Amino acid sequence: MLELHGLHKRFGDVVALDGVSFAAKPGYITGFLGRNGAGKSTTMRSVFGLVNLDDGLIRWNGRDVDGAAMSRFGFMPEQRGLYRKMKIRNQVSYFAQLKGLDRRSADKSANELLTELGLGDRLEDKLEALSHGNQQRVQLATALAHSPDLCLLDEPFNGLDPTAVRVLNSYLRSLADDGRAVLFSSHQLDLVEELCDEVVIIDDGSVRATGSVSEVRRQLGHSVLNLAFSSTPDWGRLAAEGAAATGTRSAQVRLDNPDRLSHLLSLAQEAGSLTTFSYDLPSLSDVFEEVTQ
Amino acid sequence: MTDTETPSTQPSSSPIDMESNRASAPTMMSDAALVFRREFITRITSSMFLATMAFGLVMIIGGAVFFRVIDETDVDIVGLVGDQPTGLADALPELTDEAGFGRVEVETFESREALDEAIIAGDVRVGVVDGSELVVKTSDGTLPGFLALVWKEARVGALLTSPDLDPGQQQVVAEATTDIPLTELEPDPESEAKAAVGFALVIMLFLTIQLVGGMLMLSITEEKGNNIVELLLSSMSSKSLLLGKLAANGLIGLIQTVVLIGAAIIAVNVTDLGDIPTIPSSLLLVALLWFVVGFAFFGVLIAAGASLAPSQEDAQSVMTPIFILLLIGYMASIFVTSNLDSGAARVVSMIPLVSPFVMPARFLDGDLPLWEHGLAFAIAAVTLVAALQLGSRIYTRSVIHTDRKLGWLEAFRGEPVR
Repeated sequence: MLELHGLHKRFGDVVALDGVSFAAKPGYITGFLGRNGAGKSTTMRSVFGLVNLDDGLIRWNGRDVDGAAMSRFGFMPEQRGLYRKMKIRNQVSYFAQLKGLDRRSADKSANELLTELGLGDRLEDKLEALSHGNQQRVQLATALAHSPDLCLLDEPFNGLDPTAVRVLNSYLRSLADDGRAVLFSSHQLDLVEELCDEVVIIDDGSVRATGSVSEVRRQLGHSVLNLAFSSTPDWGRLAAEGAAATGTRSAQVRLDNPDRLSHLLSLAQEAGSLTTFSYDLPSLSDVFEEVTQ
Repeated sequence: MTDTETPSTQPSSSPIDMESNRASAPTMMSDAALVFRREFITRITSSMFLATMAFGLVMIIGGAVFFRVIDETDVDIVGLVGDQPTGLADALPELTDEAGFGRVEVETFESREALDEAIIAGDVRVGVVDGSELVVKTSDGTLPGFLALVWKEARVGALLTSPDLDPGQQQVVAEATTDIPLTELEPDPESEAKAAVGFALVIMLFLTIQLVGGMLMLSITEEKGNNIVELLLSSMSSKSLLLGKLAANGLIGLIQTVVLIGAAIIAVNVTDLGDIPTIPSSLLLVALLWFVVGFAFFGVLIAAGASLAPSQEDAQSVMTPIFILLLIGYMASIFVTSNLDSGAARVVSMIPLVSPFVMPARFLDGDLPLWEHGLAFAIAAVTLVAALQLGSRIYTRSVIHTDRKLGWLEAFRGEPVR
């Protein structure tokens, strides 16, 4: 398990990390959410010693992170970068060897992973001959070819087409199912909600929410009632109860007290021709918006 | 995933199991070896290296062939007419060659008029008429004077065996015409050729260090400019990266030095050009040893300078002081090689900036006491250790910064990463 305890980092006057603490567990996919500049990349880079922390502790399986531990980590940095004139198979194999695989295994793994990512017929191509999306797949392969115990992926879905997203999605799940820890950052909240077991939301260098997706969704302490009408409802009556329009014939009401549910449903039926309703926790997107305001 | 779902602990389509295929955990040396291998293969197959080698070989082989052709066409013709001392015409080419006049050929003419015409036309350099008169178009050079001596000696020789003189007269003639002996205190028939090889060594070492240093600079700025360095440093220490790069580029420089020097020696020997001396194998060892010292010294400084720049464009300005340092070392080496006997030059050759270039030339010259060689090496070794520490300190503190150009002092004072 990767544990981060009280990470602090300043760049001049800018506080990049202000006591960041959370964990990424084996067998779990952890989504790392935050706006641009919130501290996601700095946190990830600090795991590899690429940032000199002012304070804090990073541990892997209860011990300080050393070179041997790092060889079991896979990293996809925010700033993508590979050798443009190197063949992609050799490139992926090279980075796998740097992580401790022997050459034969690294070559084999590079072949298999690149093929799995849809680049089986481009193995002998140089990186510069590939499209941007395919280069992104190669970047992913360099992070994963040594089958790491911990995957730290900074915006891995950026630039991927839907097919590649589906393949990566499935591959990350298989890594977690195999007992490996996966931590990735993303702006695609629907994807995070669908894929992740745990979520960490960071803002201004501080962790604002952490836990399983359901725990985070409960964290706001309220639920939402979604209402859909067959025709335009009486917006005045709905607004008086705190409902907000989400469409021309749909609305959402925040429910701090579940006891109000029957009352609101009655009112909705009176305000218009109610066709469907749902009662649920706030979406991850709602939580993200609220805790990062 | 729904609210109630928990992560599966059962593998579905498991990733490749690499546990059994892992070599031992990476170490600084194993990482450096991987960097070395990739860097070496990349550089030695690069069009830049291959083009440079091809250019160097073409220049060396082409140059040798060119000079051979020039040599063949640059022949002085000595025209003879009338009676000449017996055997002199046949012996003349060898006599002039030994005296350093290059190739001389002898041509016999039927008449004085024909000889004069050939001289005026420039086909014949010197004419000898009846063994008693020299004819030239315009008096220049020392060949006519030499020929006058040769013919004079032939005439004296004939006189000494003439039955017209009694033994006493022959004795007088012999004593009067005996050459004054020349005593050479430090005979070295190959000194000029040695000096030429010495200069060639200095130039070769300078160009190789500059070229390979340039390749090292491009390699580092490529990794910074393309953000590869972040991925690399997530897998290894910056010292491993630096070590692998220095070793790979150093080996390429060694190969280049050996190939080009070897090609030069072979080309010169095959085309029978000049008097390139036999080069002792120990000189090659000394040259390679000093190349390693010189490249390690300048290479680590070049690596440090390149690590300050976020891109290749910025690297040029940051690298200027290093390349000026290299140039100063080169200029001083030319001075030393031109004045190998002067005390000042011997002192200058001890400077670590200079000794890598000039010590092989001094060794070849033969006038390099072991203690001087040892002292120069000791000074260079101490300086090298300091340069390695300084360069390594700057490199490890600046290579990760891909967003802006760093100053030397800022990098020196910075915090290391990885």
